[in-house]
Amino acid sequence: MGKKYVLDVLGEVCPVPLFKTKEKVTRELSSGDTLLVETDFPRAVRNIIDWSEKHGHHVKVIEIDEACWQVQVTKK
Amino acid sequence: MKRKILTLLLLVTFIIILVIAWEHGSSLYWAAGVLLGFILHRCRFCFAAAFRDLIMFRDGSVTRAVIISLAISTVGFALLQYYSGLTGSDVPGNIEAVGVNTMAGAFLFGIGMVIAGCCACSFLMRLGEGFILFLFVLIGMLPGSLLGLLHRQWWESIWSHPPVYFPDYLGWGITVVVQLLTLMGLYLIVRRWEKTERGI
Repeated sequence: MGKKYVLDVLGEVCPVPLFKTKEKVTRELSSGDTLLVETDFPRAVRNIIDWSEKHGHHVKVIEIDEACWQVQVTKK
Repeated sequence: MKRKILTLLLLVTFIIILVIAWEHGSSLYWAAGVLLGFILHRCRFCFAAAFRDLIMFRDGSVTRAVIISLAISTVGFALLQYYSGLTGSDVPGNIEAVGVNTMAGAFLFGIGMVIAGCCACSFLMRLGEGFILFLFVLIGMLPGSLLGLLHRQWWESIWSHPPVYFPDYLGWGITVVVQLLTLMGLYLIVRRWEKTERGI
């Protein structure tokens, strides 16, 4: 079981959420670690899913509140 | 349950406004606007993302969507304009002059678009979604558009060339084929670019 990191990008708009996610996943996380990205920007959810899938990371989304999502990216 | 009631209320309001607007003849435009807004919202279409994501993340999905939409509208407008040519009525569509004014405008708009994080249509959609942040974009947008409108004649008088309407010179068939081939080429370039590097 890898470590868990949290990234709060609530209130941030594109491209900030994906950019910060990318920085954190590629620089700080080791293989098997999970990043929990919290965002309220729908386009960013789509962006992060697409980017993660393209790079082979496992990704899961849960709606933690109305119009507020947690994207869980597990590094491959 | 709450959501269902809200949807029902919205639907009823939509129909009431549609009926009222019908009498003034603007009902169709309004309904088309609302439906287009709905589609924009659902597909998360964003002109800012079309250029920014391709450069920053090598994600060209929205760029390709923009190219496809241009291809579809090329065919649609060609049919409309060809038909209007046959009947002798005015050619529909904005046939505008291209020049340094277009480039300067595009550059200024690009700066605003990157700072705001959205283009002119998606900011309205996001404001409608409830993002208060985009209220500031609206505050910038209104005086910005007004200033642009006031200076428009100056830009056009100094920099632009009279409109060149391709079908007048090349004929309809060649124009449409060349435009579609150009768009196809751009599509392939984007596809290729997506696979090259990892972006910034």
